[in-house]
Amino acid sequence: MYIYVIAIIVGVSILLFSIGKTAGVSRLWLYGVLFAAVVVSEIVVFLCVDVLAYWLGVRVSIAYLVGSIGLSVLICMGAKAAEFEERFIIFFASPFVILYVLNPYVGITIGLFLAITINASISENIFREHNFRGVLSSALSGFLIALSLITLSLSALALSTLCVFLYFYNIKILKQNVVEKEIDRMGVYFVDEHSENIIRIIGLLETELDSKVDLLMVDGEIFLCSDFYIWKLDAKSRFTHDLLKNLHLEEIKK
Amino acid sequence: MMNGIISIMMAITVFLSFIAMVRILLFRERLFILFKIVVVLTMLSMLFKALGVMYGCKFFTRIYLFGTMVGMSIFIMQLNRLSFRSLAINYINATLVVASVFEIALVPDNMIDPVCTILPIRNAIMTIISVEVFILASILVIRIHGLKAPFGKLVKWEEKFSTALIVETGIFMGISITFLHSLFHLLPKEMAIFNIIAICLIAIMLVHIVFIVSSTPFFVAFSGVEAIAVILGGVKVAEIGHISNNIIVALEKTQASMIRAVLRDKILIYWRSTIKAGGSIRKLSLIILGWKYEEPTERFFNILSMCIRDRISRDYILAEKLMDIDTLIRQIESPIPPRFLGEEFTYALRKFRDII
Repeated sequence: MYIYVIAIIVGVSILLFSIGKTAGVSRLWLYGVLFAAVVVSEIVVFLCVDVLAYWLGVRVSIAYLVGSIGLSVLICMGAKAAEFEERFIIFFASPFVILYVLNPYVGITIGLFLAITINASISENIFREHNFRGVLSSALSGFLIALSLITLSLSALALSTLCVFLYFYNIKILKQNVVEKEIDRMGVYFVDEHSENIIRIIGLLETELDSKVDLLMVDGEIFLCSDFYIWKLDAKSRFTHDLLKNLHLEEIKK
Repeated sequence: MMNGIISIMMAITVFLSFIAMVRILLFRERLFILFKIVVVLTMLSMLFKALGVMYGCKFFTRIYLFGTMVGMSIFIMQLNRLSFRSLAINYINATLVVASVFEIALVPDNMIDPVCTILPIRNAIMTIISVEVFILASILVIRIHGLKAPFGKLVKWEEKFSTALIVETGIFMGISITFLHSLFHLLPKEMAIFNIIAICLIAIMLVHIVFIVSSTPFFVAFSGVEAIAVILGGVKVAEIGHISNNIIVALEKTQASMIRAVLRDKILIYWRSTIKAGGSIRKLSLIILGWKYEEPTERFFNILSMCIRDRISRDYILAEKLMDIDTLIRQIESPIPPRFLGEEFTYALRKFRDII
């Protein structure tokens, strides 16, 4: 039964990684390495080739230790990249997943709490924009979380964390929908007088405050800024607010 | 005799923790929610400690040891949230706590003493955490001192009160180092008395911190507001903190009546209007600059800017206070922030707490 679950997880991971690649997720390879560490650790335990260490008179599985550390880092990476408000708590709670080594029930319970927190935020954001996509992503993450609860498997939790790629993909589509005009900030293309004023205000604020402008609102006009471009957003679009909630995502600056 | 001292000290500690818990739970503030968790956790841990001592139960003592470790790390998380805002500090501290949880869960019963338990890994980690608490508390106090000049009376009382925080966290650091030291040198009986006195001291520290945190000046210091400037007819009439003249001139030159810029770590709000009174038309502008902490503080900036705008408009139109040239000159030349800004700050904070 156990190896079948791992087989399902590996199979479904292809879908999520391909979505991640399409969404242009940065450091995708690192997500891959951490996910592989979790999966390989479970395969190693299944094949009974695990190495055991003794600490304070208790046997500690090295494979589970590696897997649980991998999962805790993966959860942190997902939460940080998605810039959810809950990331401060997630960074604190995720190392407690390592208690899986001591007691699988404790480790899985903490992992479930974290996975549910992340996936609830992902689904909430996708739902706002597209109901059907929201249902699909909730179903996938719900299935994976349920699978991990039934089988006490870390790899299902790891894969549910990778549902954050769906969120990035959604943000990418969202941006395409609300951008009205692209202003070249590097001076390669000609810009009109109004756009030049906007560039000047942004430049001044960045110089004086020694920081980077992410968003500028001028009399109801909304501008999203990156190092190379400024995008004028459709202020009337109902999706604009959802995009603005994700101001600090690297994915929307590409 | 010793049992009597321990019982009295435990009763005082539980009482102090209870006061701290009631005070913090009555305080409506999301920015300090982690302090609430710390205080509640401390209260529960103290109860388990008391139960452990009363019934000699090792399991309750293990829960107490676990609760205090988690409580301390959440306390650091709150200080970190107000200072560095580093996610890595949270992760490292939690990993250290996990290591101590391993030890607490796995050590044999003969190493657990309900009156005073000293475990090598847990106490080493406790010492590391106490050093971190001391450093973070020092940073907070330095920040409060730095705010005294721009915010004047708003943080005057807080400045003295917060200095005590350094002394308290220093004592906590000393206690942790003594515990670690006792692994090699001190006798169990001496340590039992030291332990109960230390717990009582930490409870006093907790009550003090709760009272600091729930004060208005503390919010002033950590709401993130960096500077506020009021400009009337192109002249800066009132200022808290400092906003560069280049920014003021550049924003005044634009034709925009409302600009809101969200930077990576800061927020700038600019609002402009024209006011007609007594036959003259004046241009009135307001600039608020602040550190971007979290969503609630962004909301606070909006409320604050609205309050100040309303106040200035009201004063100008009804009483024409800002037209009074003597008042204008006094405000420009005075290094003390004008009284109305302080009043609006307090009012905005009250409004903000009603909304959240």
